[in-house]
Amino acid sequence: MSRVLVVGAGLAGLACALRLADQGAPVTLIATGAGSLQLGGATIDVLGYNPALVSRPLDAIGALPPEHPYALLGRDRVTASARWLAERLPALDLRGSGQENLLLASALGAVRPTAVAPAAIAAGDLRAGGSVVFASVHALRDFFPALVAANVAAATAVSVQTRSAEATVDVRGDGDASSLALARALEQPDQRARVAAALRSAIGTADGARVGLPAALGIDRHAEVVAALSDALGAEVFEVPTAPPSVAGIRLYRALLAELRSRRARIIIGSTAVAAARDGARVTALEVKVSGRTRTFPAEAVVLATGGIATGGIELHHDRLREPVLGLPLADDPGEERYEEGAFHEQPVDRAGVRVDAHMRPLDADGAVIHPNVRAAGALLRGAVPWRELSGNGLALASGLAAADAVLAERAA
Amino acid sequence: MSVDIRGSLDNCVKCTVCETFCPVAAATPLFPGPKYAGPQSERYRRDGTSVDASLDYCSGCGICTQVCPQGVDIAEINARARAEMKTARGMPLRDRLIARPPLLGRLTHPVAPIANAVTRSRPGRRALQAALGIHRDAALPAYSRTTFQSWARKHRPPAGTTRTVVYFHGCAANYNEPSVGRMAVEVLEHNGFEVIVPPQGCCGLPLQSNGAFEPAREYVRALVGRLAPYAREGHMIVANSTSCGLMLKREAREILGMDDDDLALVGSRTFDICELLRDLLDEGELRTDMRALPMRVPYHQPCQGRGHGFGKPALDLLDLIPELEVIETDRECCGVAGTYGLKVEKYPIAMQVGAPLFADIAAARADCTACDSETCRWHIAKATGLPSVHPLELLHRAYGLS
Repeated sequence: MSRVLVVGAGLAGLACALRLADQGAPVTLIATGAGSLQLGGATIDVLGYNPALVSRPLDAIGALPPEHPYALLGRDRVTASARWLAERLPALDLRGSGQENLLLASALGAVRPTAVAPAAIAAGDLRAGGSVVFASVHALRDFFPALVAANVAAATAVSVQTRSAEATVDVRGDGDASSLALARALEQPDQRARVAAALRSAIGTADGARVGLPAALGIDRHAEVVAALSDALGAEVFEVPTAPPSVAGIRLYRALLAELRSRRARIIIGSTAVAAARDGARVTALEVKVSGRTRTFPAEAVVLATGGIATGGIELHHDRLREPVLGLPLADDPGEERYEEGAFHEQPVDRAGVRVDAHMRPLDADGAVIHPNVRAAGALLRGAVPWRELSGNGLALASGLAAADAVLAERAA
Repeated sequence: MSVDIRGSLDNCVKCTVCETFCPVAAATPLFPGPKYAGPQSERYRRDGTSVDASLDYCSGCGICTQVCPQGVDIAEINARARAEMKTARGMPLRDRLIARPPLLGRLTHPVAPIANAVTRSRPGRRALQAALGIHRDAALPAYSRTTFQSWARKHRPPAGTTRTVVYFHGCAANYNEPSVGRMAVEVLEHNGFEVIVPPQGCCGLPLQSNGAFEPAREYVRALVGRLAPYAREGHMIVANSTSCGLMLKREAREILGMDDDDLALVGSRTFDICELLRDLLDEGELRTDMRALPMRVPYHQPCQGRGHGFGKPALDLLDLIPELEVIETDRECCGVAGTYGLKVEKYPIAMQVGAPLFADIAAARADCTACDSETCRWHIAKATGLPSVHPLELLHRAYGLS
């Protein structure tokens, strides 16, 4: 029996697979690993810069060049996709609709715009002004509350009074702790009470200020941890992203996977799709490297959500780029002149990717559909510069759902 | 070496995804996590020099390798480094014993009632803990008086079979749970298979996970010698223990580094029993005339089951049984990881690793639990007080075979 194969476990692949499974399609999700959601801050960035700071991202979509994936997807679909995620995963308590960007402190205290964020992160919206204390525990070595406070205070986009505090307290009896270890400790009431007491004495009186803490406020018991710390500190607390691992990203990944599981989607993490079988233009199966062998997975339809260069969806070869699963042509490949001076400049390679039509079907250089039953989504698409325009998760979500809807429409036909 | 395991560490981008999944690091600070113990420490290991004894606390569940988005063979790198460390430091008698199930089986099954009485008694367990370092509360299996092989030799296949399969039953079905072996045969026969049961030994996994690589390779070579003639004739080989099957499919090559044509052939022809049955289901060839089993059963896939890359075939099969409410637990590992949780210094960690799973099972108010690997079943049953069965057993009942 052939199934709908979704390749990739980032936001595009997971959202796509969940929408398909919700509608009763037989879905198999195949991914090399656990995807990139756990590295990011769990915010849905729709559009943050173009190239100036964007305050109304959905409105700003209309001004993008026609080859940008958002131009294909359109404002309505992007709006609907953000709403879908919030409604589909109510436990995440997502805030924001994309009408206006929130302005949040990054892990280094840069002010970053985003459209949708979990409540505990959205509570750090700096547009609200006022006073903020950025606080952490010393054991968390990659988080610097003084740096965050200084950079936020110096930012011109917002007007916030800041200070910082750092508590010295053992987490799990270790000298050092990652954000994950801190999150696990905070789920234990006794350890949480110790950390809270140390934070309270380091902060002193919050005096009406919000308290920004590293985004490590629990995993499964996140709401309970947030409430308990707010109570203990006598202040509204919010989460500031950390260096990986991203606990907020883990919460998002787990929530999506749990929903997929409850739909009995087949989930194969740790196996890589390497090739395809074809019958004419249609892809009839994917060849997947599983344990010790290559297995054939019969395909009714395929959605490639394998990501861009960073996650292997696009391979860099010395003179060209390559899409490794189907060998799809990559538009805007700059050849060997991939980079230019300036780490923060857009690079010639940035917009390279798979060109698709409005049904997310890959197109060849002449604009013809290559495989009628294949779709592409997420960072694999050409035309966007997510790291610069802050559009990664917004594109992943909208294009993943668009691919799912295209597959569903074809199944219904 | 056909597989470049160590070279894969260059792909590590330090993203920490493995750390977020590691069930042992979540349970104890004694293990610093797969990234630290693996790709990071590996750079300092030269010529067998061991840099960090915490590696011994890795349970070998393999989750790190499965979730790595960059394809780093973290678990395999760590298994090899652990073996070097244990070789350099010497292996305790306990590890040499518990890593040889066929030896234990041959010694014990003729005197099964006496052995079982000892392992069931408090004084017996205290003595085992004092003498060998096997934790007195760890789940030890009972031994059967008769082996599965002796049943299989007398068993006459039914008429009307349409295809053949070779059954690799493993040590547990032979010495501890011959009923599981019998049910495997009967479920396969019910679906039209003639089941061939060649004489066979251990897959070497316990020796491998205890770091005794050369003796493990000897076990693998002997087993492959038994199975390869069938594989060459085109037979499929079916295993009901997910961990033993994984050893043949992958781990003997990727961890023990065995580059052997017969092993590659046998590995490529080996299927887990639920994998095989689900393939039949997908092809419309599985018998689905099943009777109702009105029960609530949490299903835990063993960590080693995830290593196969086939999803959760047992769930797809159990979902076919009318009125059976199957609750998928989603925990990385039950904690025991083969022989890890038997050891006096590791048993508390194994219980901590399994605690979230045990809590899920308690909350489910279940009639029994289901799990594919035997050591996991014994550990889960002991920890929860509920019987734990192979998914096969539920299929066997639903088919009206028991």
